Amino acid sequence: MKKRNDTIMQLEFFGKITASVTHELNNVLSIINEYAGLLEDQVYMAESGMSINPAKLQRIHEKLIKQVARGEKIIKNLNKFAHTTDEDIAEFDLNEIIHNLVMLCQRFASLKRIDLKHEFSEESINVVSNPFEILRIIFNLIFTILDRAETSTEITITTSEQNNSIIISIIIIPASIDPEEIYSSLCEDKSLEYEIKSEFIDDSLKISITFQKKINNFQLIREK
Amino acid sequence: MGNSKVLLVDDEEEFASVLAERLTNRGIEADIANDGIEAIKKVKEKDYEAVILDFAMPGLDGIETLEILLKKNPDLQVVLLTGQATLEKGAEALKLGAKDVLEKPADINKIVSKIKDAQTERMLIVSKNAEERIKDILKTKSW
Repeated sequence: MKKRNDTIMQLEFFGKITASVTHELNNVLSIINEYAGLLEDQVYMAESGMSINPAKLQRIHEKLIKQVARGEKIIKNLNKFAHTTDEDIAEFDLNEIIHNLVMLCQRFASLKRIDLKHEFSEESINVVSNPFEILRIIFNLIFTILDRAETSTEITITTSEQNNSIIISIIIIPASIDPEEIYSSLCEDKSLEYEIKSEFIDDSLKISITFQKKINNFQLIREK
Repeated sequence: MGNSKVLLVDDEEEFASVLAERLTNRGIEADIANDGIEAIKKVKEKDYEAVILDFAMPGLDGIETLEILLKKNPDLQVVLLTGQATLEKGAEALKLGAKDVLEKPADINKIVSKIKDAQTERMLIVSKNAEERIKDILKTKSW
C-alpha cells in the first residue's frame, strides 16, 4: 500500500468530521428556517383577517428552542474535537474524548442504519498523550467498520485501563466483518505506538486497541 | 387525505412536516416519505405532480432513489433539495433527469415556483401523450 503522509491523513480525518457536522448543522438551520417561515405565514394570515392561535405560536416557539439546543450541542461537540489539536501532548480524560468522538460519528452510523454507542463507567481515565492522534486512529477503525458492516449492526465502544495502558474496544454484533479488512485501514498509522488484536465471542467480533497511558514525547512520522 | 399533488422525501421528519404545512398554506398539498423505499412505494400508489427529494438519507440516498423513481416513471418531475450540493452531485442529478437542484435552507417561494414549473411540464406531457394516443386510434380506424 502506498505510504501516505501523516499530515494528509490528519487533514482527511478533520475534513470528514467537519463535513459531517456542518451537514448536520445545516439540517438544524433548515428546520429553524421553516419554523421562522411558519411564523411569517401566521403574520400574513393575521393581516388578512384570520385569527392567530396562541397555542400554535407557543408550539412553534418550543420547537425553535429545541432546534437551537440541538445546534448548540453539535457546535460544542465540534469545538471539543477541534481543541484536541491544541497540544502534541496533553492530559485528558479518555472517556470524555471517546464519548465525544462517538457523538460526532452518529450521523455516519445513522446513514447506514447502524447503532453506535459508547459504554463507559463514570470514573475518568486520565491519559497523557496526543488526543487527536488517538481519536484519528479510533475513527479510522470506526469508519472502516461502518463502511463494511451491514444495516442493523450494533457497534459498542468501551474504554478501560490496565497498568500503564489504556484499552479501547469495539464490539461488533453480528460479526460480519473480516478483521484483516479493519487492520488494513490502520497499516499507515504509526504516529503512536499501539497493539491491536481481535477475537470472536459468540456472534460478536471484538477489536481491542491498546495505547500507552502516558507518553513523554510525540512526533509525527513525516514522509521523507 | 385530500387530493395530494406533491411528495416530500426527507429523513428529517420535522423539516418535512413543517415544509408540508407551509406548502398547504400556499394551496399545495403534500405527502411525506422519510426514506427512499417509502418514496418509491408512495409514487407507485399515487400520481404526484412533483417530488421534492433530499440528497442524504439512510438506506437509498437521493441519487439512488432518483434513479429508481425515474426508471419506473420517466415523466416524474423531481427536484433535489439538499444541504450538501456540490457541482458534481448537482450535475449528476440533472444528468439522471432531475428537473433542478436547490440548496437548503431553501426559500419557500423558490420551492413553490419549481413545483408550479413541474405541474406545467407535467400537464404538457399528459397532453402530448393524449394527442399521441388519439393519433394512434385514428390510424387504426383509417379515418
